[in-house]
Amino acid sequence: MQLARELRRNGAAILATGAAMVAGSPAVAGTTLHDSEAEMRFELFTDSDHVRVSSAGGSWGAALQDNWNVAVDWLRQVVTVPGIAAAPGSQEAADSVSGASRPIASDSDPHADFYKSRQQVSTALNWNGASAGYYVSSESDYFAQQVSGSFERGLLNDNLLLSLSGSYGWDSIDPAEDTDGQTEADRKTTTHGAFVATQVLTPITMLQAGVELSSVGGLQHNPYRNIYVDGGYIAERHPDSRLRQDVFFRLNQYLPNRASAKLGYKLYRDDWGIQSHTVESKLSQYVGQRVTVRYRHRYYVQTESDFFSESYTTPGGIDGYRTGDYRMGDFSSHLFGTKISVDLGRGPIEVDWLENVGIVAKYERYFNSNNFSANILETALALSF
Amino acid sequence: MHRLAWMVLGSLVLGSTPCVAEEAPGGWEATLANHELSGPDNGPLRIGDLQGDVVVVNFWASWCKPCRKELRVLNDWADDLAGQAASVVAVSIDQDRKHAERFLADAGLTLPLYHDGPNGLARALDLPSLPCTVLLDSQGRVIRVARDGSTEVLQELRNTVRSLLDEGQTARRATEGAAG
Amino acid sequence: MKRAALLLLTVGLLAAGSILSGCATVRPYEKERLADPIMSFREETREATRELHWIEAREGSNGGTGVSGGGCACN
Repeated sequence: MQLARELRRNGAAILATGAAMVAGSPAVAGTTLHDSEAEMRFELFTDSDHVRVSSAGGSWGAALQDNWNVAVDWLRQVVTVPGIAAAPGSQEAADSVSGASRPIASDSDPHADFYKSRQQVSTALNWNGASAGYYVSSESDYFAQQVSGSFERGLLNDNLLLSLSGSYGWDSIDPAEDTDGQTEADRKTTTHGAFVATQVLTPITMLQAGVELSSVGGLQHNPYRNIYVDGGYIAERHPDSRLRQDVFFRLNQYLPNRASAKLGYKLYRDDWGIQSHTVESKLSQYVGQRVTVRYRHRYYVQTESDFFSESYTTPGGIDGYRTGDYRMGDFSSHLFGTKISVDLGRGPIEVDWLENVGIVAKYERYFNSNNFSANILETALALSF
Repeated sequence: MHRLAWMVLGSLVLGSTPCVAEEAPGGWEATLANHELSGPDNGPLRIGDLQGDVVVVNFWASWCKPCRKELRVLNDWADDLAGQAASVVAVSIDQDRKHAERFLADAGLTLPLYHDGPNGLARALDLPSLPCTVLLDSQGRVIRVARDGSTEVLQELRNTVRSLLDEGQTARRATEGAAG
Repeated sequence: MKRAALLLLTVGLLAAGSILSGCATVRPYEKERLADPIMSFREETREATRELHWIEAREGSNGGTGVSGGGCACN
């Protein structure tokens, strides 16, 4: 189930939300001189449950004739989920809150590592502020597609930019063999709309505000996960429709000494009863001619869904729904990160063939109040031309 | 929640009436003619010194994407117009001259760099857009102000330059004929 | 709690709406700082879109990435 299975503690399949993108510039100092860019990225994700995700991806964006831009993004991931530590079917292997989410096939060893890969490609074509995109993601038990479109218009002498976007995604879910899980094929659809306004307030300040609405229908729980109820096991079950909405604000401020501060806030709520607040801050600073350093902190807190319980006493759960997904409970998380971008073509010694090359290294540490933590390490090579 | 979203949307749409007046280039001619630009070797240039030529003055910055695209076209114009009674003056409004130099070198453009920063002519003229291209006739009069670098606008501007050069040649021939 | 959040949201949205719809005075030649890559909303959106996959697998909410657009209309 996509990255959902990276974690034995986590839940339902992930929304495949490949947002529309246009040719932008990698955040490497000095790459703004060019209209076309390519970037290669490598990422390693490891967490406290010994799940490991290795990703290799890239993007290419180019300016074409007559204000046309094209962008392509691709990604390949290999996910390793460790074998379960206890006997299959035991309470230790699937307690009521976490629940093993990897499939256990009859001919495989449940104590051995489980591997799977995912391929993703997204493309977008942009012309004079109008954009259309297509996204596809494929793995052995999950196939997701999405079409998207957006329109952007500048007002007030281009000091106010309004963006309207929408997307429709349709996913086919075909669970692998699982001795104690659901195996019937299912579908999920996602309709998403967003309106974003960006206002230039001063020559060094920009404010962005947005509202988003999405409606999700179909399978939204993890078919591999069972929960322990009163001495027995039963498959988890989430509602098959969900209305999600959020508003967000971002303030970008240029600071003296070639630095910037970014502050963001998001309020989210849905009709499953979850409400969340996200506060994020970023501080970027140029160091010399070549280097940009960024610090980041993100704080997140959410309430539990209406049908979440630490333990269920009857198979009916709450209103017929029951979950082993900690994401349905209340918790908070922090993310601290640092990112260094180096423009190799700048500085006192200029090397011709490195003129348009930049490298990026990023490290982030994530942890939440459920004693879960993760490390994310990313490196990237950016070329502009 | 929905109602709130619509309130914001309504506020944005209703409140988005332009409140910045469209600037008329009145008084531009004297300002353009007399302002001193820092030239390629830091030698000064006054656009007024080019009187007698049809002059294309382009305001650009290395951080402005449409400017970069337009400048490549103007670089070709400068090559085509060499030896004729016309000049292309590309005025960079980058804060730091080095950024403009870096772009020109990187893009292989041969246009001479006239650097003026954001607080020189750009502010004096209160430029209505970036890029902004001003076409002056051989008398230093503003004939046209192009506020974007679209293919159509540039083509139209190029045609006007041709017409002005043709008119100039016809006038010169008439003067020479009268003198002869 | 919900009422307080909604009130806060209302005030926030109204304040933002009135700011956004106000008269803008920043001129095109004054936007060099806004065009700097360290001020970009666009790159942030792309980065947020990329990290959606692992964030959504670990948290109950989503969104906040907006759309690709948004910027200073200067590059």
